[in-house]
Amino acid sequence: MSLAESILLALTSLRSNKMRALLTLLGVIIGIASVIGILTIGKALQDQTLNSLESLGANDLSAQVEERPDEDSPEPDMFAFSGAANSSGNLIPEETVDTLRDRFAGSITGISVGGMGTQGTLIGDTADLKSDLLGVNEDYMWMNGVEMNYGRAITQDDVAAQRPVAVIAPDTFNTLFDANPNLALGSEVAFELNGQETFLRVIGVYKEAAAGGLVGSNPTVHTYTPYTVANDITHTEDGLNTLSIRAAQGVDQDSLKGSLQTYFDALYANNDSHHVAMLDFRKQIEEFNTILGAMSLGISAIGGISLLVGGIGVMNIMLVSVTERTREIGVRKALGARRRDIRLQFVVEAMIICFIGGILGVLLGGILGLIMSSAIGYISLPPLSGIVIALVFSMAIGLFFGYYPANKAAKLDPIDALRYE
Amino acid sequence: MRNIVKTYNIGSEGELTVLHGVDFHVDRGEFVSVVGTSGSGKSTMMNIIGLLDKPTDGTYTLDGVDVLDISDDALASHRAKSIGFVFQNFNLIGRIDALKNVEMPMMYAGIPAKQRRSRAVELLEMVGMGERLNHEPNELSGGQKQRVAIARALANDPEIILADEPTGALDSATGRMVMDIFHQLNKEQGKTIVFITHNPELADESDRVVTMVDGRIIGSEVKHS
Repeated sequence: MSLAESILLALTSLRSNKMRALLTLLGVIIGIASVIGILTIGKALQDQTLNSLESLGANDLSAQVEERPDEDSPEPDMFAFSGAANSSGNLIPEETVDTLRDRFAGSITGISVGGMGTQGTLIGDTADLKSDLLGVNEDYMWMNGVEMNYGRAITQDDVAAQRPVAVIAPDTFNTLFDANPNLALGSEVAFELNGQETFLRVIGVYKEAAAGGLVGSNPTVHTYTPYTVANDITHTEDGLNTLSIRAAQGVDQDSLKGSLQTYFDALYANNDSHHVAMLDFRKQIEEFNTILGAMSLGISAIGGISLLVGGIGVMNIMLVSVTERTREIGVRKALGARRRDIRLQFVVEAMIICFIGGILGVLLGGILGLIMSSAIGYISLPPLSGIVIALVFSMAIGLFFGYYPANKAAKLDPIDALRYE
Repeated sequence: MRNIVKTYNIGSEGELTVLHGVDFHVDRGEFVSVVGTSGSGKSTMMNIIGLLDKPTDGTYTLDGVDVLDISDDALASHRAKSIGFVFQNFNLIGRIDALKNVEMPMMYAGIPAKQRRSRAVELLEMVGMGERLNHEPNELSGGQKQRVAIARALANDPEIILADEPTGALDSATGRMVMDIFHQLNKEQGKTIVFITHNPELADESDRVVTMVDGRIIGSEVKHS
C-alpha cells in the first residue's frame, strides 16, 4: 500500500467525522497559531527597534569627553551625561576632526558632529513653528540616515565658512512655504531663540523619516545648520563634546576603537580632570537581541505547551478511533493487510490531522501577527523559517502521538478484532 | 490439515480445548460444507484454515506450503492472495463505496490502481451489482451487501473461498441467490469452497458434508461427486 493511498484513506475517514476532526485540530491550531503569532510580533519588534537604533547611529563609535573617574569609584555609566565637560579647554578641538580624518584615512568613512538640539521658534510670514535647531557637520546627516527631498545637504564649506544656511523639516516646508520648493529654496527663515532672531537661508528640505520609533510617532521638527553657526546662535563655546565615528567597511571596530582611544589618551595626557572615552553600542544591540530572542523563545515555549496538549488530544482521539474501528481493522487484516499497512494508515491519519491543523494555525497566527504588528506600526509577516518549522513540528507531533495508537491497531489480533462488537 | 488441536487460555484455570485433534483435507476444486451446532468448533477451524488463527498443535499445509511456521506478514500475504472470506455479517467497511470495498484486498496485494478498478467493476457486474458501484454499505440491502462481500472475496482470484454462514443473516430467497453464486463459482471457475453452516439442507447441496461435534469431526459424507 503506497503513501498516496494511505493519505486518501486517511482523508476519507477524516471526512466522515468532520466535527471530531475539527475539535481535535483545534488544539494544534491554537498551539501553532500562538507560536507563529509570537514569532511574527517578535520579528516586528526586533526589526523596528534595531531600525530605530541603527538610524540613531548605534553602529558608530562614539568619542565622548568625560571627567576622569576617581580611582576607587565604580564604572562610569556610559549613558549619563553628568560627567560631560562644558568648560572650554576640556572639549575636543574642532580641528581634531580633520586630524582624525587624515590619520585614520583608510579606516574611517565619516565623523559626525552634532546632536543635541536647542528648541526655538521658526518665524514665518503667516505662521510660526517650534523647531529644534541642530548644529551639525557635513557627515552628520548621511550618517544618521537623513535623506534630502529638495535642495542640498550641509557641506564642509558651509561649516568652515560659517554660512548661515539651513536644511528644514518637511513640516516647516509645508507650514512656512506651502510645500513649494521654488518658494523655499533660497528663501530666508528666521530662527528665534531667547528673543534673538537669526536669519538662515534654506538650502534643502529633508525627507520624512520612515514611520516608527519606539517613542511617539510624531517626529520632531528639526532644523539643521552648520554647527559653527549653531554655536554662535546658542552662544556655545567652540569645541566638541561628542564625535560619532563610522568605521570603513571591513575595518575591525574593536582595533579602531583601541587606536582612537590611544590617540585621544595622548591628546588629553596633560588634562588632569577630563579625558575622552570611546564607546560603542554593539554590545547593547547584542544584549537587546539576546533579550528579545529569549523572550520570543519563552513565549514560544508556552505555545509549545499548548501544542503538546493538542498532541495529547490527537493521541486521545486516535485511540478512540482505533477502538471504534476495531472491527474494520480485523476485516482489513483478514483481507490481507499487514501490520505496517494498518500502522501506516493510522499514523498518516494522525499526521494529516496535525498538518491541516498546522496550516490553519500558520494562517491564523500570521493574521494575528499581522494585526498585532501593524498595531505596533511595523507590519511584519511570519518568518518563513518559522512557518516551515511549525509545519514540520506539527507533523512530528502527529507522528509522535499517532504512533502509539497506530501500533496498538497494528498489533490487534485479527480474530479478536473481527469478534469485537 | 492434520491433528489440529486448539486450546485457549493454556496453563490457566479456564483452559479450554476447542479442537481435539482434527484432521481435515480439502481437494482443489471441492465444495465442502462443515456443519455443526454452535460451540462445535467449526468457526475456530475456519479461522485456522483462513490463517487468522494458529493452532496449538498440528500441521497445516496449504497448497504444498507449511503455513504454520511463517511470519505474520507472510500470512497476511497468503490471506490476501489465496483466501477469500465471506462472513455472516458481511463485514463491509462503512463510509467507502462498494467499488472501494472490492478494491481493498487488491490494494493490500499491491495491484496498481487502474487495474484494481477495472477488476472491481468486472467482479461487481458478475455478482449483479454493476448498477450500485458507488453505493456505500449502509445504502445496500443484506443480499446486496453479501454480493459485494463475495465480489471482494474474489478480488485477488484466490484458490479458496471461506464462507462462514454466509446465508445466516439473509432471508431464504436471498440466501438461495447467494448459494447459487457459490455453485456457479465452484462449477465455472473451479474455486475450492469451504462452506460453514448449520443449515443441513444447504449443506447437502455441496460435494461433501463434514459434521463436527464438540471439537471433533464425527463424519464426512460425500453427497455429489
